[in-house]
Amino acid sequence: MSGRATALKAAVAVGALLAVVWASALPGQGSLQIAADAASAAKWDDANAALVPPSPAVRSAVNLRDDGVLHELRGDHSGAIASWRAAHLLRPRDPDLIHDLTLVRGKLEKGVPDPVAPPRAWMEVLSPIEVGLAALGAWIVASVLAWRAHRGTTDARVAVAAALIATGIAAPAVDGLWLLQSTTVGVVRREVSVREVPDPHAAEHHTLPEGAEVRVLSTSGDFLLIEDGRGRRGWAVAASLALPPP
Amino acid sequence: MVALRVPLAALVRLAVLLGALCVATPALAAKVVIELDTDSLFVGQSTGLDVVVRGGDPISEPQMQVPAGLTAEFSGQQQSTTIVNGSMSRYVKFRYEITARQEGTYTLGPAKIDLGGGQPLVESNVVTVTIGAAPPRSSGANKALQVEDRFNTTTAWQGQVVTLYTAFHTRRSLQGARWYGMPESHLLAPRDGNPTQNQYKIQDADGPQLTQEEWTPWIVTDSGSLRWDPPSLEVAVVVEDPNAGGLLGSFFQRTERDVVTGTPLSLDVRPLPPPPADFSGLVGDFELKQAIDSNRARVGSSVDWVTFLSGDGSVEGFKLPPAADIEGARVYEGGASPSAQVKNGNYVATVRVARTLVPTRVGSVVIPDARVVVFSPTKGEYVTLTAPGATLDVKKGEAGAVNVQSFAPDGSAASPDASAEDDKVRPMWTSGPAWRLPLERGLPAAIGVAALPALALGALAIGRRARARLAELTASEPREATPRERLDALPSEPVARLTALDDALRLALAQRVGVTIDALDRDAALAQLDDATAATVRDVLSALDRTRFAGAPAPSDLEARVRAAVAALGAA
Repeated sequence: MSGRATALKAAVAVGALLAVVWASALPGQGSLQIAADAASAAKWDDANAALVPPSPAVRSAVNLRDDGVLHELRGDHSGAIASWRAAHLLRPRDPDLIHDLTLVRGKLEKGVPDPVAPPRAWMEVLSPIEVGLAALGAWIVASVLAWRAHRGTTDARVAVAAALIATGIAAPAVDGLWLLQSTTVGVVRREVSVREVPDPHAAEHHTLPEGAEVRVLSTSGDFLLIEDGRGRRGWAVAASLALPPP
Repeated sequence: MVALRVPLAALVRLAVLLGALCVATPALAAKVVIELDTDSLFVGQSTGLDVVVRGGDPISEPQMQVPAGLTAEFSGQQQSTTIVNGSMSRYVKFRYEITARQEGTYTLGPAKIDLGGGQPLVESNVVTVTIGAAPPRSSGANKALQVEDRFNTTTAWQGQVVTLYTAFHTRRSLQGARWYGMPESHLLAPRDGNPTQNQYKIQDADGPQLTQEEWTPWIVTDSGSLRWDPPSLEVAVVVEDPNAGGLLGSFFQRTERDVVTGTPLSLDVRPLPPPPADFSGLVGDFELKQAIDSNRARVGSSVDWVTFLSGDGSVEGFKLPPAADIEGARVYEGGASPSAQVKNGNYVATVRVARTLVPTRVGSVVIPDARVVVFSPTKGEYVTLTAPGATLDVKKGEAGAVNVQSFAPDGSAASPDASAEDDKVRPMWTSGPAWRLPLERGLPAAIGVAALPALALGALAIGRRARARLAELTASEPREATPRERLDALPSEPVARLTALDDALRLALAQRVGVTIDALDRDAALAQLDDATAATVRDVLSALDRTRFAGAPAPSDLEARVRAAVAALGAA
């Protein structure tokens, strides 16, 4: 079997996998139209309900973006930014998302600190899922080449090189996929006091204005441990933050 | 030929242009400045004058017309080259001694510098020097050390910046000088702008006179008739010692302390009248300007919008009011950069406020006038400074046509092809996957599963390789034949055959007692065997020895006896 045939088979395998992933999301398409129609009639509850995914599926970038638009249409800039940030992690290069985020952040009061950067710099341009799928494909190719090397039809060095490349992709992919699950960006709804301990009577460390984006690190009762774009950490009342929808 | 002539002509023109630019650039870059140590002299006194050339390399001394009431004598030249951040700067200083010959006010300069290469001469600024009629006669200690102290004004407004001038003139040799008792009450040092110092020497008939002067800016914080005690200067005067001399003499010269007190200081300070609501808090005579870096821009590009405020008051803490919303553009506030210095005895402060405009639609964008309300000490009233706005002509953005620089707080690049609709959030999406599988949870495991065959086959290959290597290593070492194998492969030649029989028997004996054939001690080995076997082996060995070394004929059954002995040793 030639190398070209092997590559073709690997490509078909990866394509089939992507098709499965894509097909799994198709049933939700109609709900987007329902949500848009409900939003145009100002039926916000109906629009929100249409966007709730069935278990075990979760919200896609499209869903999160539309959820952000619903917030923005109701004048909730913080809620919109929270949803769009979550969508941005899944679709970092999407021009509509970038445009909307820029536009709404521009409407905020002056002095809002810079948003927190993505957990890894490469997430500015690549989604962890994209990198994860690339790693999956790379390992499939590496496995096929290893099998062929085992059979003696491919040079073992090619298989080793493929395995090294796959490892190089898989390491950041696994890291990024884990961070995607553990990273939550919250947006301050109204000026909030950030305290040194999760206690409403604790000393105030600093305040954050409306629209400030923070990374949520952990929770304790009604408080969230947050970190802002300047690296300042502290506890804030959870109700004062807009979080992306579950 | 015609086809060649045009580019050649163009090349020649380009070369001429480049050559002219190369020649002209140093002249354009060079700057010549006349710096005078002091602009006030008496007839007979001399002082220093420098002609400083920055950014050029003069080929000769400066040409300078000296008025009749003065004489100028060249006294030396200094030059230095410094490289800062990869940028080289050259500095040449021509030093002159100027002597006052006649009373009057004279203008010196401009000095003209020839940078060579046929370039036009570069001209400097001009300076004015005033020559007084009466030469000072120094006599006694007071004349040998004089101090001066005064504010640059006698009346001021509360919040105004004034400068305090302090100086001393001496003809004595000093080892140190220190002012104390300087005014501090009712005054506040501005955050921007350090005191400025100057030092120079004047030469006259009584010898050299050193002058050291300093201008210190102060903000007047109180009103009323303010009075301060006179400041004093404490100096360490070198005592002339006729016995001191030589190299070490200067290290151990004696000094004596001397204190000279200046004059009391005063200021009449008026309080500010009730301020208007939009008073900026600035007191001083200011000028307000604003500018944009281009009157034309494209949608999505950035335009620098800079506002300058400069004057003789403190700009500490000054902030422009937030920019009003501008139709058709987003405004991003930048920082304020204040700076100040004391120049020619007066405080000069500047603050630069930078903002960035990002046009969001095609058409004209009107940038409003800037207005700042300050209190003017010279007018004695609040004045509104106005800097006219501008109109920005915005064209449609083109991808790649402009260098788009985003000032968006989230760092996202603005779309270069943004249009008027960019002021609105884009509509909801109605196509695409509304939900998805939580791949982030399952993908790591899937990657592991996909990697498993490669890793397993890799491990298998490594194991196989290791086994093969081991076998290869084992095969490379020659295995010693067993006694039986030796007996089965006896050579046909008689002597070699006897040797082989002997070796086989001795090897069997050595293996029997657990030693190598080389380390075999025959008697010791035989002693370890049972008597019957030992007797059999000893008998056969003797027969072999007799045959091999004593010339006895080989017994006909020798080979059979050897085989029997080897078998006996193996069985035992």
